[in-house]
Amino acid sequence: MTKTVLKAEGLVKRFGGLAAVNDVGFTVQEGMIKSIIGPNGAGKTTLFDLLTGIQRPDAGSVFFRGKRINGLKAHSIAALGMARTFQTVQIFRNLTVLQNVMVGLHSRSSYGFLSAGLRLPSFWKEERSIRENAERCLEMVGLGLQADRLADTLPFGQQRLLELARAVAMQPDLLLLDEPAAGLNTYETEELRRLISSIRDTGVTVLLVEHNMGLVMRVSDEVMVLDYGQVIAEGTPQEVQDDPRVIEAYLGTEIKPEEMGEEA
Amino acid sequence: MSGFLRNCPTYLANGLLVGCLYALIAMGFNIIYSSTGVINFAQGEFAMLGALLAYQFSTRPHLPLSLAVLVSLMLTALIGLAVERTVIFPLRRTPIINMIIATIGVSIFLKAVARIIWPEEAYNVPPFTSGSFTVLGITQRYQGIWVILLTAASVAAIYLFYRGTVAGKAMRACSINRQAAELSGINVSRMSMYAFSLSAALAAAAGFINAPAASYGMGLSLGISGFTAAVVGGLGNPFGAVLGGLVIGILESITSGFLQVVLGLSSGYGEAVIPLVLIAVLLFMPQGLLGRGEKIRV
Amino acid sequence: MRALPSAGSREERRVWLIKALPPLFFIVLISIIPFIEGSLKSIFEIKFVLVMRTVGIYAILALGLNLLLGYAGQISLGHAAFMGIGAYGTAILSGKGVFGVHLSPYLSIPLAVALTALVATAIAPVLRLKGHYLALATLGFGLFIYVVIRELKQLTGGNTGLFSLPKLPLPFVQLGSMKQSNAWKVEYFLIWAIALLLIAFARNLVESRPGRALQALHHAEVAAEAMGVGTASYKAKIFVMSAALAGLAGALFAHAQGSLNPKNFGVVFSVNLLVMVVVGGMSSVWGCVAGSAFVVLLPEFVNNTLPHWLGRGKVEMGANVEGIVFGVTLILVMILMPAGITRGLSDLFRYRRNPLRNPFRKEAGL
Repeated sequence: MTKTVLKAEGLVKRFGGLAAVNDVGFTVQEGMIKSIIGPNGAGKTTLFDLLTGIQRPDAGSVFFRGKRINGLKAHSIAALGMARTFQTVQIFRNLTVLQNVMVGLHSRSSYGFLSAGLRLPSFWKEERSIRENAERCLEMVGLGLQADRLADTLPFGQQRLLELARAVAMQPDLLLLDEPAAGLNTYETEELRRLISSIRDTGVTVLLVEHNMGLVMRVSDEVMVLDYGQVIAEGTPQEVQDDPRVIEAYLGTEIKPEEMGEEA
Repeated sequence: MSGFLRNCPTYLANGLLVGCLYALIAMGFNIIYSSTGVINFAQGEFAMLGALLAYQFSTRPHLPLSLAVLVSLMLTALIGLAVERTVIFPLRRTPIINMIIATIGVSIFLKAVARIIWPEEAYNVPPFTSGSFTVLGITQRYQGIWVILLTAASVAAIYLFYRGTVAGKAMRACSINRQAAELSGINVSRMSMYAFSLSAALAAAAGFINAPAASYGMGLSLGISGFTAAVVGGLGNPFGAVLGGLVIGILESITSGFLQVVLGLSSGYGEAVIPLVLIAVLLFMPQGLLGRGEKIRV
Repeated sequence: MRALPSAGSREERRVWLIKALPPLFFIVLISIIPFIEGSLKSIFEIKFVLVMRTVGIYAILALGLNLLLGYAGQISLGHAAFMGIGAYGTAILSGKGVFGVHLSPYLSIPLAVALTALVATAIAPVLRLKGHYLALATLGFGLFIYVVIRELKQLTGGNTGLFSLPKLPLPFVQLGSMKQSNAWKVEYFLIWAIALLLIAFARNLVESRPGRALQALHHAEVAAEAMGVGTASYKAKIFVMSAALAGLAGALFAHAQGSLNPKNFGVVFSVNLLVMVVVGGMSSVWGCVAGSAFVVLLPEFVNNTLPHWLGRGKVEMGANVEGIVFGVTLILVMILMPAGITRGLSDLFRYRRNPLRNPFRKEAGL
């Protein structure tokens, strides 16, 4: 019996008079790769912000491993095991590639100011393990040789990979990816697909927001479609592809010639 | 307590007058901020320059006051323009903290230059009309009437400028959305120049109308009061600055009076009022009284 | 910021040696100065021990602000206030006495630092503000404390200040009974020992988990939060720590100087402090030394060395030249080398190895 890693119920978020997220509810089962798709402005990134605690919902709840997390601060949710990447790459520019990933291990380590400044034993012990873990994550995404470069000297595609490595370093139970394929070419996208699969194979559940339909359909176990902040379809990739409501949302419906006359 | 209440009308009158000065500085501060996003830490120094230049031109060469004042206005506006071109413009794409530090640099530079030219602790700028009068038991200098007139005239002029002229409307557009304004063909960099010249002139006016005292060090407290007034009034709104100036001018005056007369504290404590108001407003009401709610938190 | 190479490798030792060279050189220089003081005085007409003692105190102050501004990216224009609280705190407890009780500096100094930390904790909510709003709020705070110190005349002596403060505490040594120039030398070594230890602490802090967390929250606050960094609490911690350093510097200043005046801790000094950090390099811990040396030695040079070399006449210009030079320096550094001189120079060195990174890039910012 697979467990539910994430459950969202009745989430609402309004900005002014507009509801960016309007009564959204869904579950994500353990070990699954689930994608959220929808036209631009459908509320996908806002939904992510609500799940990760960057913004608070106006109504509704989020349960992570059975525990209510809406209302918690983002860093606490992160420490519970939810990691995310961002739509616009948010790497730490003046740190090296390796140091970026080491930040990902922040919540898996604990020594503080005093230990750091005085180089107490806890520093040496934890720092070595942080470093080794970080190096492993870099190897996994293929950035092992770039470890000592300043992060902002990386080309864009590799910056995306760095963000991924950083998120994976958090040893999360649930990984949220916000448009990970944006700006990647075909080759890079295929690499990404393989990476996401292998991440899932290590036991991490993945929830992703994407526009690249090819990637979505090939990698996902389940797809959910958002439009105007509401869920309009949910199911396997094939089911969603055939759903007429989804087609209408993405492609529009035909305007019959008779209706054209009304718009003079 | 009764002594305090008896003095209240005087506190109000004084507060109103000093509030006008703050309003002028705050308006300039606001104009710069809303068209360029820059917080000009040297605003107080423009006021200082206005005052000292007015002194200079009314003494040696001994120009008639109205001429000296005019020259001071134009010169200070020119200095404001120079600052904009040499410091602000090169830094326009850098993080805001660089701009902050640079304008602080400008302020200490201007103060040091002023100190070299005018090293004394105080110079006398002649008032437009000397002497004082009494009405309703309050004694005020005639200069006070000039202060109110000048402030009202400035507010009206700015209003007309913003509403009536193309340049003014362009500046308003910049303050609402810089990128859109730029894409609509507005020369944003020229707006920045106008903003600085205009604000420097406003500050200069505040400086010399504050007769008689003028000294190289007067910029700091005027500047801080100006910022506070602008923040209290609401940084996005040009008339908020005026309201803010009047509000804190009166608040400062009344609180000072209260501290002195009722609590018996020394007069110096009055200077602590404005910084406290600044911190309080920033923490609890950062959009000010009239400002648009700006996102200034994380 | 370069990562450490793998522990124990030959490359690691070589990198370590290269990085340790400038600091080692400096430590050697510092140790020699008291012994060559006489010759230095005849060349430069500057009392180097006394002046460098002040540089050491300010270096501690600049270190705190450097960590706050350069690493955590939070600006404070009122840090002089914290120095004032530390200075007056220890002065009142040990010198003036409270209810007739005079504490020994061994006690009054830590207490003063604790008091500073307490005030910093109380004001920490302002850290929610960003950019210029934070700058304004800290400016307001600095001014407020200055006025309070000036007005609490009973306690602080107001504008006249406090005098005859006890000397720095040292075991086995009675500074008060020494010849003044020797006392200065001992204070000099004590202060620099403290400064160097604190710098070492700061260096260690930077290359560590909390150090990375601070730099992360500087560059991408939301992402850092999403990584598990409690940004609000980290900002507060570094703020309090930098205030405590300022308080310590103030306390040392009080006992070394022997007298205090509110003017030492006004807005003007906060600006000088900013100059120290900006010039010294906001991304380099050792920059605090370069910056404070600049701010202290420049006026000395202009006021004493130049007249000595050129003959009388320039002395009156002293204070104003300071303002002009500092003002222009701030502006130029922001335009040309936003990461400060120390960093600018090391970037120059790196540029020769990696042409992709131009140290004069304007977008470098902080």
